[in-house]
Amino acid sequence: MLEIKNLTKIYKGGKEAVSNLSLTVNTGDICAFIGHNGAGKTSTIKCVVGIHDFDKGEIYVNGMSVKEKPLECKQVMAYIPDNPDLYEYLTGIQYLNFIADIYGVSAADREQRIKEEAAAFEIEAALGDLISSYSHGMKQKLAIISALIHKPKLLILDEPFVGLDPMATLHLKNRMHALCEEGTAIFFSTHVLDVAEKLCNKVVIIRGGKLIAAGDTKDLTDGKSLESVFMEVIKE
Amino acid sequence: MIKQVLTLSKVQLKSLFGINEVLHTKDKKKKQSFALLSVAYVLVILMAISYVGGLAYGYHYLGLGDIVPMYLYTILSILMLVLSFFKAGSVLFSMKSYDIMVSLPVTKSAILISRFVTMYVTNLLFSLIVMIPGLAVHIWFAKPGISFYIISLMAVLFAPLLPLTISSILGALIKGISSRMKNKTLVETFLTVGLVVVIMVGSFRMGPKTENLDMEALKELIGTLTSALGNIFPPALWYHQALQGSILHFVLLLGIPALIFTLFVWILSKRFTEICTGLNATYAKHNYKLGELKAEHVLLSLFKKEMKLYFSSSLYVTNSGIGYILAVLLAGAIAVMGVDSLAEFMEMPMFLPLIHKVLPFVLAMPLCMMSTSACTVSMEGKTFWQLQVLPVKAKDIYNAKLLWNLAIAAPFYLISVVLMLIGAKPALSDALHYFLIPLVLLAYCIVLGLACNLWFPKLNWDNEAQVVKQGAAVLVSMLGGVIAVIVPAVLAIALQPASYAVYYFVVEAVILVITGVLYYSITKKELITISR
Repeated sequence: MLEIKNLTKIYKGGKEAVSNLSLTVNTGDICAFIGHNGAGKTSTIKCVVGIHDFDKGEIYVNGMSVKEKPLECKQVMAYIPDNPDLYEYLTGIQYLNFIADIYGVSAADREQRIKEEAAAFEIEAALGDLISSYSHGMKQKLAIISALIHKPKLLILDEPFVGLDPMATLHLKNRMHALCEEGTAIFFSTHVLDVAEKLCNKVVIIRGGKLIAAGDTKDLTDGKSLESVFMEVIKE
Repeated sequence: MIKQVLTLSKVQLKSLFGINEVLHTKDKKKKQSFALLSVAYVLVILMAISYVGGLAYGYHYLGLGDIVPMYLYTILSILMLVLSFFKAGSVLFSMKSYDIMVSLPVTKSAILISRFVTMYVTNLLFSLIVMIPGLAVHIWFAKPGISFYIISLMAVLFAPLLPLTISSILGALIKGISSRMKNKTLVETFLTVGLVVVIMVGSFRMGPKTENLDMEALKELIGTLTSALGNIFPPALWYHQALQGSILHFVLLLGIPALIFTLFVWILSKRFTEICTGLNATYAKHNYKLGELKAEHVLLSLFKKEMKLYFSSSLYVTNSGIGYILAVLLAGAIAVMGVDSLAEFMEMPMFLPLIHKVLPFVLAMPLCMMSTSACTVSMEGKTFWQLQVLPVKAKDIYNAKLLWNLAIAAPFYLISVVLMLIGAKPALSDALHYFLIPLVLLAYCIVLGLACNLWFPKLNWDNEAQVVKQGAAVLVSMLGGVIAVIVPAVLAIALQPASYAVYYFVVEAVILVITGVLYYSITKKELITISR
């Protein structure tokens, strides 16, 4: 579903944020993307979702190049940023309607999906309020609902659990599992190694923009904790 | 506390005009944009200098030289009042960075004063641009003594204090009143525009009427004007009296603004937190029940989003709306007074024979002063990522932004053109162009605004005033708009073509072609190439 081939991203001023990175996330995978602060996780994600241009390599979503067919790629994926800067001048429901309109979701489908997710994230009563009145966690919940509204084939999340309350965290984990069973691929960055270990069937570790370890979580950890594996490979 | 104010002010000043960003960025494009913006600023400054210098020269030429310093001082104070008034509320009472600052071991007064410092510095620069050329001309004619220089220097340094205080009080009052209303942005905008129109009309009526003057009348006029200016703005009279050698008025000139400002800061600092949180409070009902939802076309959905973005900021609405309101006021004045009376009233009788021919351009001027499109991309700010990741063509987003600007301008355009036709009563052959010239210029300015914003996007801002009032895109598009209106108007007067109908057609065709080229260049701009 997501294939990154020899990706290199150099920022203006010459800083190489991502260097010759290659990875694959298949349908049904939940893949954790791990690394230090400034390792290049967000830069990679932003290249995939169309926020950043990149210098070398290729990115394919559902078999389509993001450079050649950006709109088609965006149509099948959804992205939730680490800091949910949403349109504060809209109400929650106006925001969800706007996103649904852009993705071409029918009125009946959006109604049903919003109802289900809003109830699960306990946010329905707040949907009539302006987003500017929302807490960080509420914005995060709204961003998650908006990402699920068009049933994406590829879900990309940058630090999705930051700011979520325990109930919402549990619901998001359950939704991620359910989505994978339905055939969605999930690629998310995180610093919470415990969650990554329990939730993901795949792990990718990067350092200084370069891939240093990748594979099935079980194979990579081989009986050890993901935390200790991460410390080992980072030190090497 | 002085150390705290200095430290906080240093941080605030670093964001002024984006100088710090340019000094530290490795992005060449940002540096080029800054260089271009500097050129635009220099152009505006040169225009201001020549206008103020010409004004001072004109007064001396008419024998009214004595009132030049106080006249400049009054004009400057009114301009500072209007300019600060637009942004005082949003700069002083902004909650952005307030949380971090208030958690630091600094006093609230220090936070408050540091916020004033940014506005003071901007106003001081503005004072220098207005006062130096005007006073230079005055010095050239009057050859005053050393005391003139000292008093004027002190007057300029203290000049921003009173307008800043008044505009802050008015800004806070308007924000306070509107924050209790349901449609608070609209109420805030309405009150702001209303007050600005009152100040502008009031200051316009302040100017001297110079027809049929003889020496006796002149002497009388100086006395009348001095007391009139003194009535409008007493510090201007104190400045005048100080220049005549009155130490008491010199003390008043510096002491009263300083005292009022200090008192205001002291009172405000006592309730700063309550005022900030009160004015920026958002009310959540938390009782929404999901009903039937409706699907809409992408372009309509984007258009509605633009509408909500526009009405989310009273500063944005006020800044772009003031030109449209002025167009209606101008056309209304033409309808009521007739073109000839208006030209006489505005002391431009020399243009009387040709004014009918340039009237469509005169109306186009306020319509083209400011487009909402000139900062619509920048206004997306930190939410710009959202547009980048959505499966929507950049062209659709741009079209929605252009259409929204057109929708906002259209009623004002139509009303003002109809009013102008009523007042000007042009020949049938000209009437068509009374419609078309402002329309093509309006379309050009809207497209130019968006093009400028795509050339100079600023998504990293703390306060919307940085993009709505100080953004490079706004300045460049305003210059581009003014030039597009003035050049054909001046050519119409200079060339006096045999057929004005043909001339108008040529102008319309040229503007349309330029607009088309600009629009084409816009549609080629990918969202991914715009970064924070």
